[in-house]
Amino acid sequence: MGIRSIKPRLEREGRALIVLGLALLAFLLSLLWEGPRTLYVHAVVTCLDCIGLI
Amino acid sequence: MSPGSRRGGWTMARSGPGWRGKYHKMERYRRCSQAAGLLALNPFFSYLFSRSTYQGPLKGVCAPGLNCYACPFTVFSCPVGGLQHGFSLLRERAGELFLKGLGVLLYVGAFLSFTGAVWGRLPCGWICPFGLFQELVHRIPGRKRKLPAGASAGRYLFLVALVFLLPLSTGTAWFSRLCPAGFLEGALPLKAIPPSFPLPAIGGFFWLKAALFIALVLWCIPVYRPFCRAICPLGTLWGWFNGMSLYRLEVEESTCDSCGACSEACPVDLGLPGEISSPRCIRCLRCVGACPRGAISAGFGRR
Repeated sequence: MGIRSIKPRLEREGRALIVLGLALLAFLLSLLWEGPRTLYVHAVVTCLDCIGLI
Repeated sequence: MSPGSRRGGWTMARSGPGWRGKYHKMERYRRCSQAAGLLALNPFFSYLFSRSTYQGPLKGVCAPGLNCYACPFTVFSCPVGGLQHGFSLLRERAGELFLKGLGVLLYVGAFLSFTGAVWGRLPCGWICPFGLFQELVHRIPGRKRKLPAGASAGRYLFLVALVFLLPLSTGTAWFSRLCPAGFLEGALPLKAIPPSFPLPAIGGFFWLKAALFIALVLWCIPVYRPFCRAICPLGTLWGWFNGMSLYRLEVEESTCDSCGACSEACPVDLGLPGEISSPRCIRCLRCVGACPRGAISAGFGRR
């Protein structure tokens, strides 16, 4: 494994870490607008769409 | 299924000790992991006695797999259902509901990005209960076929139209209305073991869902996991991360002798080893177990 094969790996890890950072940022922003709470309120009621009983 | 049995057995010479045992061991681990995933995502057996679905805080957490949140035994949310709900709230254009929709989309987006960046589509192969169901149906004896060429491109249409655009424009979760996983995990158990609250009468969409579910089951017998490969929006989204995830599959070029064992073992017909990071790879890791020279590795970090 030479230098040429290590560079894409670093690029790949870098991209993954950037996405992880953006995911953390998105999660924090979602807390501002009650994302988890809104999903909970939606999910806790049996979804009639999912059952097809509509 | 043993390596190569789908296409009439091995045709090439194999070398290296224990490759066949390694393959079967990997498949056993995977089946155990899938069973554990099914139980971990659907552990609420007290529904059988209380007839009340789970109302606790985990219902606000996305499940790492296509697991319907209408299932009476589940304690998690479906990320695809969450996305549709977020888009349907965005229909309001402004105001409190719009911001709540944005919040849901950011939350589910964060979950999908985080899990994708760490594992890629690994949960598809090792956790997803609906994937397990399709694999079990595929074990029914019968002629086995490949997925028709171009069919896998249809998953982008389902994602954009049924999960993004239609909920955004109509305010209705259209993928959920048609989802066969919702029929299997939500509709059937709730009709068989009714909850304490009254359910509405069966409507036309129930029968449409039933017809789609039966069609999918019939498709699963000849084709391996057709829903995951041609329809599933969750797998499509996670597939975009296969090329960058921290968990990775790698081919040691100096060890690979291009025998084709990996390609032959691949259940989703990838052209391995070239397509090792393809978005279509469900990361079942059969190729890792099938390689007689141990040239394919999977894991975090560098070798």
